Amino acid sequence: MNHLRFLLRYIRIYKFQYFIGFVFIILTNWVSVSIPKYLQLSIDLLSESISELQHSQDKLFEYLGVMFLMALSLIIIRTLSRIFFFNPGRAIEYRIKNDLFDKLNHLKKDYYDQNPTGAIISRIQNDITGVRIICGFGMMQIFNILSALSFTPYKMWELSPRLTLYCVIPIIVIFIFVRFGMYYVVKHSRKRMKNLQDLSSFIISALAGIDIIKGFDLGSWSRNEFGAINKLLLNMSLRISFVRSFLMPLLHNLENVLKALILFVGGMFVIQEDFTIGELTAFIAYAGLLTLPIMGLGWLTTMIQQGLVGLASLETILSQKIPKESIKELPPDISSHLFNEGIEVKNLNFRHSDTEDDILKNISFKIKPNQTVGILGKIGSGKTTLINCLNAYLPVNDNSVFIGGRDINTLAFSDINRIIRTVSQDVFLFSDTIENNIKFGINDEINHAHNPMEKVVYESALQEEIDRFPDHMETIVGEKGIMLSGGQKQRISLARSMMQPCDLLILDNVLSAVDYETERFLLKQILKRETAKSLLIISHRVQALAGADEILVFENGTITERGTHQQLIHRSGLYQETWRLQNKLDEK
Amino acid sequence: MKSKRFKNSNDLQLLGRFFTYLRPYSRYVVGALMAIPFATGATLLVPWLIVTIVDDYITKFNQTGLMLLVGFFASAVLLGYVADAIYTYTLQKAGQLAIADMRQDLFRHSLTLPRTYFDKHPIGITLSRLTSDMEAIGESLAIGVLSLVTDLIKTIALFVFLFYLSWKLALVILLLFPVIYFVVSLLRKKLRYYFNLSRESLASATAFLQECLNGIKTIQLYAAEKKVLKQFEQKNRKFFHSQTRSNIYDSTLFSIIDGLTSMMMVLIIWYGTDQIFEGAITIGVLIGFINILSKIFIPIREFAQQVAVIQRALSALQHTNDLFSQTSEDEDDGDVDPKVAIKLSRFQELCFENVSFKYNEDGMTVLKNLTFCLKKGDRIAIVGATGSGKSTILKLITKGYGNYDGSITINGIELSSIPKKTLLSSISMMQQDVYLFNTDLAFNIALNRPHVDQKKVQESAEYVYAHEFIDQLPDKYGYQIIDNGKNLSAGQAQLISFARAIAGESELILLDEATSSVDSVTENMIQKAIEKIFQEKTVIAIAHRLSTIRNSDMILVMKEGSIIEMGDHDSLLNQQGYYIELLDKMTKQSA
Repeated sequence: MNHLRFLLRYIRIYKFQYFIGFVFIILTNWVSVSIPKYLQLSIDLLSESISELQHSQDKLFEYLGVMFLMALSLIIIRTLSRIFFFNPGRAIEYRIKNDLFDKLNHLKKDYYDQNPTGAIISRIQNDITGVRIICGFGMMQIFNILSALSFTPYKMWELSPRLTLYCVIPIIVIFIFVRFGMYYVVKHSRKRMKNLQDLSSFIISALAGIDIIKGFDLGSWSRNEFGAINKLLLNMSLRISFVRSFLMPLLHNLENVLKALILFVGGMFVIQEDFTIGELTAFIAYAGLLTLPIMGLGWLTTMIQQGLVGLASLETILSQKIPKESIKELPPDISSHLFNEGIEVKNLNFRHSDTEDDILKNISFKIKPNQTVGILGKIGSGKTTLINCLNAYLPVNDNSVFIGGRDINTLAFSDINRIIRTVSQDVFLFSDTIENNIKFGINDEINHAHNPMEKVVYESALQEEIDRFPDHMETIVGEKGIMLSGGQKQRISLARSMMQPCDLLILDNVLSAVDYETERFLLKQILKRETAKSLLIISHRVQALAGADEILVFENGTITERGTHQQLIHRSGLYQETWRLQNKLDEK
Repeated sequence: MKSKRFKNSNDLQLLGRFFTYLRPYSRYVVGALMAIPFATGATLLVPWLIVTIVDDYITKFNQTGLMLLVGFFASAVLLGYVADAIYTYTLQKAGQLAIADMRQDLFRHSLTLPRTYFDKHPIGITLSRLTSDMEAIGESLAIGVLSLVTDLIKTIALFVFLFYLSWKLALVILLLFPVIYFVVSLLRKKLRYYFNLSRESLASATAFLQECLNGIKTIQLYAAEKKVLKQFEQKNRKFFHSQTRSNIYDSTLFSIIDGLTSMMMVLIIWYGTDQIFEGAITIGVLIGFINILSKIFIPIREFAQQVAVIQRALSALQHTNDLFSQTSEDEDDGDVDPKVAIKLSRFQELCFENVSFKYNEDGMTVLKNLTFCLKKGDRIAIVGATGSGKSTILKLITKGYGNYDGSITINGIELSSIPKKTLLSSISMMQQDVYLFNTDLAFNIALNRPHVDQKKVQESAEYVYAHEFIDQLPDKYGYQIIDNGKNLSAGQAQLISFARAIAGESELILLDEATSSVDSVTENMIQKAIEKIFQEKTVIAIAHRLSTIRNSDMILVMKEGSIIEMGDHDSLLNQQGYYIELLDKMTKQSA
């Protein structure tokens, strides 16, 4: 019920539209049940003898006129009743989607570690459909069925209470059967979806490894694996088909069953002269009106159940707490001077969860304005984790990281990220033009000033490639456009970081995919310090670190060596070893 | 299987492929067809019985006859229900079986497609052919075509029946058809427009959402949350607007058909009154007409909806046909000349003679006049800048691409006359992009090869120094790989691909040395493995490390598709040519 309260917040926004829809739905049903009444009167007039009929012809035309007008107005009010329910449903979908998007943008790494993006997206797509259906079609059906199932039986009761009671029996029996069928179909459709997902992931895996499959003659193996999943899928489809074919059509035949019953019992009444032919015709027409809402009732409960499941799962996203939501941004005159004292890391420890060992142990160092610090270390030694602690991508303990003497935990994310800019190892580019990707680095809210594009393109060594690309700066990258090499992606991401000045620029193994000559050029540009006052450079290559004011060597989450290049190469350890290995390649 | 080109294939041709898959299950189709007369008969019997019951029994006060006829009526309803169910189920069964077969064949076919196909088509496209397109075909056949056919037959039958009852009244209904057709098609046109618009805008909004989630870190590190939200809202609003518009047309269409049925009823009674005066029809006939009306108009509304579903299925069939008509690689032969097989069983030499190659007919020449020979025990290193054609050489040797000029021979046999399967079993490839299957680690080394048992797997792993780290994994060789090796480091994955190649026991090894950055210690381990392979096998390598280059007997220096220098390390150094320049670029450390 909590879920409903959540939904009510959105529904309340459109209460006026829903109310109009409600009025129209009542009108629709009222007019619908009124038509058979006039049908009955007309038929009764017609079944009289011809001489009498000629007298009442005017009356007959009056009835027919009323029916015609009713049918005409029914078109309009029914259309309106649907629009006034469906459109708020869509509007609520629109609002929830925006809210979800905003929420997801503010959630941090710990959330995404537990929830793969593919799963989030498919969840949103499926769940939002359920919610939209509740808010649109579902809301309409609730009122529609309620009013139809009260007006129609009332009219039937008016005509003949006994006959109405007879009709209740088949309705209940068939309804129970069909409800069971619906339950079965929904349950097995879910299993079938799972089979289909398994099939998809096998196809992806097989096609991605097509060269291996061919090279190692794995064709028959993969065909068998595929065949097995395909078979499961087929069996599930057939089971669903069976129920759909044999159980569901019972409802479509409800109308005929009722007709048989009415013809028999009602026919008897007519013969006994308790009932007129017109009343019998009207009663049959009412039976027809009754089957639609009963079919709707069967789906409505399923629909609401599914919608509520979807709602609950969307709510788990929407109710996520955004970390540090209450912290306000600092006034610009304070935040712009925050880095004057640099950044300080004091006895920083970090672990992802309580079960794990510490990834970072007792890390302490400082970066002052205009300083460059370098980091070298093996894969998995904690370098990238450290960076994610500095830029607040990961949560750190209190009193571990300070910017300008303030604990990073007391600063808003936006303040931290405008002081610290990170170019991370895993480059992400939007499938958009190169220009828009680079311009992504401009944040209008912070500062309207930015570096000229030409300069940035030159300094990130992109000029030559961009001249070569078909549409130059307008070239689309990514899936829909050209495929970039790792080095090209890294340089675009570097260019993006150079669009606006910042205080500390962190380069996490950014230059790994470019050749040495380009690396030298890029380092020269960065070391001009036009973009950032201070630098933190992580690299496997000693060459990139040699010029740093201090170099930290990471092993197993601790700093094992620190000093300048000259100091470190004269001390035995990982730095010296790496330096030697890399220099060995240099001898000729 | 015939695979003809389908350039302007029409709908019937498209269905042709599906029917070939349906043929083995024709008994179900026949069963379904046999149910149709019963279903149609029952549909007609019901209104006819109503007319008869009213005219001959109720109005004539015949009680016993009424009982009998209502019993008859009930049996007709039951018969119709059973016939309908049998028809639907058997036809769906045939369709699903055919689709499962088709899917299996399509998958088999995809596996035989050449490299050139996968270069041009992202995996996602082939995936949707095998999944969502198949679903669309299944759905439209299960729901669309099925009900279309029976609805059509039943509607026609009902009309015939109406004409039999009273051709004048039936004509009145028929006159209104053009009006309904006009209204429905007008609304459908609008609906289709907004349907397409909303599908496009939904796709673009979803794609953007997905992209933002993938790039969430970048967005947060640039504090760009508000910026992307604004973009998303724009795309989302577009979807919302097109949806509200299509709701309006959809609601109108729904209500008009309903309303028209009622208006038609009035017309029928109004006109029927005169007919009753003239004694041309009875009251029962009029009631029968009123009862049939709704059965005639509702299918028209659904017909309009089914046309869209069928359209989707036809385009899905078109897609599958396109995939089927992609030519596969030579394959299938299986029979190799035994003499050739013996000659190939022991590697002796691999020779390139004046080999030139371009990927596309009108594209640029990637390899120009290559000539070199690799004898048993030789080690060749290929060096050159990116795009100089190094990896193309390996792709030609493994028959990734054909159509080269000149000649490539193994043990004196021209490559084009060796089936790919035979060739690949005598060559081991160590690739830069390591591909791992999401099963256990041992399978990833053995790859289902009959001669590679558990022992061989471990030996191979030990050979390339991979055993050491495997032994420390939770389940050792049973360690489950997820997401193409996400739970291994890049260096570890490399070593597994080495072990995989070594387990093949082939003499000739093709090595594409990785350029990606791993830490120096892992790199050292990889280097040790490579050195060992170099000592004991015949190797042709795309080399990036100086040690690999120096350990080779011959170095091919490539530039723009040609071999411009050739020789061992020392002699090339002495030449003072492009090689030195290249080495400088590749390895120079200090500025």
